[in-house]
Amino acid sequence: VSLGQILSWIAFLAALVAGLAFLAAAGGREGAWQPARIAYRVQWAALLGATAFLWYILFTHQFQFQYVASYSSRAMPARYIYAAFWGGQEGTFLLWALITCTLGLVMMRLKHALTAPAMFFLNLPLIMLGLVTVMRGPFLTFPGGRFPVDGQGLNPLLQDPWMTIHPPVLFTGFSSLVAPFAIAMAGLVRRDYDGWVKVVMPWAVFSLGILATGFIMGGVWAYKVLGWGGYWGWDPVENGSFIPWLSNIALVHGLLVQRVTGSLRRTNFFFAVTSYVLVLYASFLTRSGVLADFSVHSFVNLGLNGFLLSFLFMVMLVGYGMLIFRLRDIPGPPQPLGNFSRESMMWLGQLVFMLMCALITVGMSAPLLTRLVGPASNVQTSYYNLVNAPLAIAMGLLLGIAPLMRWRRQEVRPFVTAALPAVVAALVVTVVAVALGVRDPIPMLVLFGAAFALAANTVVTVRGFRAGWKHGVAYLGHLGAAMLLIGIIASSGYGRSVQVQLPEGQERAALGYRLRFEGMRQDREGKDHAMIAVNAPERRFEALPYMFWSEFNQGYMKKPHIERFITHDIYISPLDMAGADPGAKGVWFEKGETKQIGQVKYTFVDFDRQMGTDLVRVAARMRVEIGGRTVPVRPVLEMNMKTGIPNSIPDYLPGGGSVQIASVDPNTGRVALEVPGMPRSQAGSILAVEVSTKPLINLVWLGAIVMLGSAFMSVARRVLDLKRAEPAKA
Amino acid sequence: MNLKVMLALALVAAAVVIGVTSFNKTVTPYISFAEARRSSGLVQVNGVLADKSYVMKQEEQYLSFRLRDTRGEVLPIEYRGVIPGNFDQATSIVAIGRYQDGKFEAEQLLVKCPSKYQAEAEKKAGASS
Repeated sequence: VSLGQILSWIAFLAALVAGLAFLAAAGGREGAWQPARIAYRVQWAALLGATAFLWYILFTHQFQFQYVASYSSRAMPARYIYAAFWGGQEGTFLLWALITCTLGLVMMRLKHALTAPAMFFLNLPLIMLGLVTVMRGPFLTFPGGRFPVDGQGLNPLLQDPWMTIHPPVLFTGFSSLVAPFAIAMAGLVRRDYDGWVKVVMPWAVFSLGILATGFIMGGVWAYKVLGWGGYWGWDPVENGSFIPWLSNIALVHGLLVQRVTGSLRRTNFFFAVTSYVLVLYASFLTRSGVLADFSVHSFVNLGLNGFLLSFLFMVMLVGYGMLIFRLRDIPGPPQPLGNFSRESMMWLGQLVFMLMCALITVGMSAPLLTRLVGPASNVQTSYYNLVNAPLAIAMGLLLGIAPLMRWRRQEVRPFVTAALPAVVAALVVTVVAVALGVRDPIPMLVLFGAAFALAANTVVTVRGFRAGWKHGVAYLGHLGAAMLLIGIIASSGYGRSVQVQLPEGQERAALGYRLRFEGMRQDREGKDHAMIAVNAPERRFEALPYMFWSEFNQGYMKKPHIERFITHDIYISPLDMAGADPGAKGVWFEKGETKQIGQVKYTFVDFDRQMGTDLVRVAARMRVEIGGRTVPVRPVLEMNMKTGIPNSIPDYLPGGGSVQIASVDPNTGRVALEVPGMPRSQAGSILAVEVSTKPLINLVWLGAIVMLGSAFMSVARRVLDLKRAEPAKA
Repeated sequence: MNLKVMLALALVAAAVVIGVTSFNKTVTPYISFAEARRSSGLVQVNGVLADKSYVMKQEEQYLSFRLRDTRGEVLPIEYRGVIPGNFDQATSIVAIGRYQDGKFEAEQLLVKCPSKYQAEAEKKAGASS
């Protein structure tokens, strides 16, 4: 038994003890508080130890551990060995547990009546995760003591600097939604239906920011590395992180309404539970393998479906069960939501988030839903754009209307006066967009809504910051969201794109740019990239997209070239390379075929084959007519079956040139030969690229940064609020 | 009924209508070759490359090949667009498109590649035969 396995057991048992002790403390036994904290800290220390141990066995290449053998290899650079921690599911469960436990450590510091019950509920998922780490953790060794000498390595797609930071951030976001869930549950148990709002606020806003950081990083990675030209692909994995976020953002807005007006109590409990339920549902969908046929991601079924499902059902049962149990006890609003007021607009905003969330959830669950009535089917990614675009119109408008309104009651006339400048600004933007070529009504309306939100929030942000930063941060976030929306519409809908074939050395035109493929070059890491000289009206530049052969994937790994301008990016994405493999370098001969190349006639007679134990040798018997006489030529291709490395041994012509085997096709019995004076066109290769423009892409990044900045400033604000309230209560 | 409730109901109704129509428009069932031959809408089929006798024209972005499913049935497929790089080494191919005039016209190809481990196993099998 390894140290890692022992630590996993300690963590699991400590989680059980801590759970019982937190329960006792929540039940009023002051004496249970101390042991609960100790057990919880032991659990954290054990998880930390297990994490350290996993890195230790990864870095020391202990391939007797199945996990190490599956996700790392000796040849991997250190920074990717570090990332191999979350290369597989078993490791991500440990990471999930560690992050959840660390967040609990922070939560435990708050002296509040809700802390003990909240800690009990936060500890529940830790018991489940502890169990899975013990049963299916990364510390299982190969049975029987036989293990490989080297590991399989990590998919090169994941060997990217972004991958070293992106998964832990996303996981922190995912895990952090346990906090609103736990605090909401504590509120329900304690029948403290308003007091939990202040406690949960910093956590809910933190989740908002950190999850958004996670998928913005994912977006940057997709845009810069994967080269599908976009930053968001509506993949199950992306949707899985997006739906809890939508539910969480609905929660944050509901909490603000409750704090000011005292309404939306039940709704907020519902969203707090739902956010965590969606986290678990998303991890079930993406990890269980039920979507394996429907995604280019390879999901491996670890046989944890039952576990993940019971985890999900347990949280649903506890969460929704408790809410239903208390439903009649929760007092209704002291006064109904104003008809025309900020809170009613925020309530509508919540509804929009919830509808987006529901429609995306339906889309990503399509294979499961359709299986009930017929063959399992999936929706195309266009589904998500179709359903979200109309909702984005409503979102943009509400984003602009709500901040301009007063709480409780807004007179119509002053509102119209306040909104008029923003409406005018939005109209101007829309007219400019139409002049630039926006014709479809839906993007036009989204653009109008977003421009309206941008103008309105610029005004309220400036006004807010004048009154103190705390009053401006939330509006700043809306400003960022509006910019992001405009950037998304422009860059995804109005870029131009064309696919073009670039024969080596020849100039081709695409989108008004002139491109010339100048060949391949190897960088210091041994990765090939294409050199394309681009002559654009903006400037001349050399595009260097990556295009290298990966043994691991048996395919080309590609990375686009992005040339950045203030108003747009030029995006050059390599698609394919024809004639780049060794076979295409030569001239193909059928058996018995004669070809004249230059002044020489070549005839391919037959193969001679020799099979050794681990060496296969193929010789091509050739007859060559050169300078009026016929000579036999016999180039050889050796293949070492152990290493798979071919070795081509040339034969020489009387004039001094050499004949060499480039490739052999055993299926058709053909051979490709490299001979002197081979036609140039056959040796050159053709690079297929997609050239596209991404208008206003910088608004996407700027909007995202502004939004994140606002989110983390809001966390600081809510923590300060909580701190100020704390001594008063104690 | 007041303004905000009416707005909310309108939003929900619009979302349901848009959701249902978009779902029906974009849903592509995963079906067998026999069913694909009978269907008229957008569907997806999967299988493996039946043989090496495919036609690939890089310059014209044209690809035609035969797909074989687990039951051994074969479906001719035509595809116009960017040809996935490692198409002929794929362990499984998903084609999304429609069946027309005796062949399946794919709009999109998803190619799943062998993992490194599998690739080695296959290479060994090839060498011993």
